[in-house]
Amino acid sequence: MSEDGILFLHLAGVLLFVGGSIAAAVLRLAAMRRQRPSEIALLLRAVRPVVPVVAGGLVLAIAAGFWLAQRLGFALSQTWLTVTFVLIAWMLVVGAVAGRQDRTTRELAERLAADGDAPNERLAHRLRDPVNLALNASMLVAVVAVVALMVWKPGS
Amino acid sequence: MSLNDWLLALHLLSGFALTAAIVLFWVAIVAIRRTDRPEQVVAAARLLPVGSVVVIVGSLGVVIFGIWLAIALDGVEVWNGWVIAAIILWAVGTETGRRSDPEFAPCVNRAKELVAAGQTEPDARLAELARTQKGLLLHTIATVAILLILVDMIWKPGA
Repeated sequence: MSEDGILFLHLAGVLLFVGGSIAAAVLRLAAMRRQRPSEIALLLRAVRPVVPVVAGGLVLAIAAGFWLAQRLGFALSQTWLTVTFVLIAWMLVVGAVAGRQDRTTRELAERLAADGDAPNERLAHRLRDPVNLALNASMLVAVVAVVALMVWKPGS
Repeated sequence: MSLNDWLLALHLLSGFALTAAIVLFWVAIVAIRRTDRPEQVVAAARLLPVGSVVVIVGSLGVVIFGIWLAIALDGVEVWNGWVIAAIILWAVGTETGRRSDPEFAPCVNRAKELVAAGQTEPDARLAELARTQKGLLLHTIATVAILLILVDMIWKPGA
């Protein structure tokens, strides 16, 4: 495949990954503003189809990124690439942890929706959990940092 | 960190915002099409204004920083065929995306009316309005146009 083809796959993966991540974050923020468990469950359920978009985009971006780095002769030990790998590892770990927490919240919302659908303090508390919010925010910061590293390539 | 680097970063971030808006609209459209309950349609429809803000920021950022970049970069001119093609695709994507939104308005309005009347049970007319083919087609065209812009940016046909 030509370098243009690999670059297309890399950028398509990045667009899907970042676009999906922002969409998931917006859905989560929208859920925080709701009171009724059925509405919260609907918004958190809407995140589920976005997950394969984010995961597929990340896999495509990383795989095509390695391929492109090899083709263009970038040493993987360069600082900007090393920092990028660390940030991606951070996003993977935090994404798994925060995603598991959000799944538990969604399941709670679904149970409450089926059981009277009344606003619930525990559900509201879970949606506003500062640790979960911090983890989600750190992923968005990491995404912006990776974009900056890709553009400026500090130390290269 | 030159001005061109900043322009490229802002151009890319705008592209991410545009993609995020498209994903968000797809989520809202799929959620609306999969339910016939007024409250759930109203809840999903609340994503549409958020998506509209993100799409405005993304689409304006993409074209403004893209044209600025085309002017600033040596060897690239705004009248290059691939740049003009990108602008046309951007216009097609923006306009079809804008036109898809009103296609879902009758469904959202009916859902709001039903919720205001206290009716929360599934509604056949609501389900029919939610499955608008024209709205789906317009959003699909907008999505394809954005994907074609990426193809055009990479291969730069005619450059």
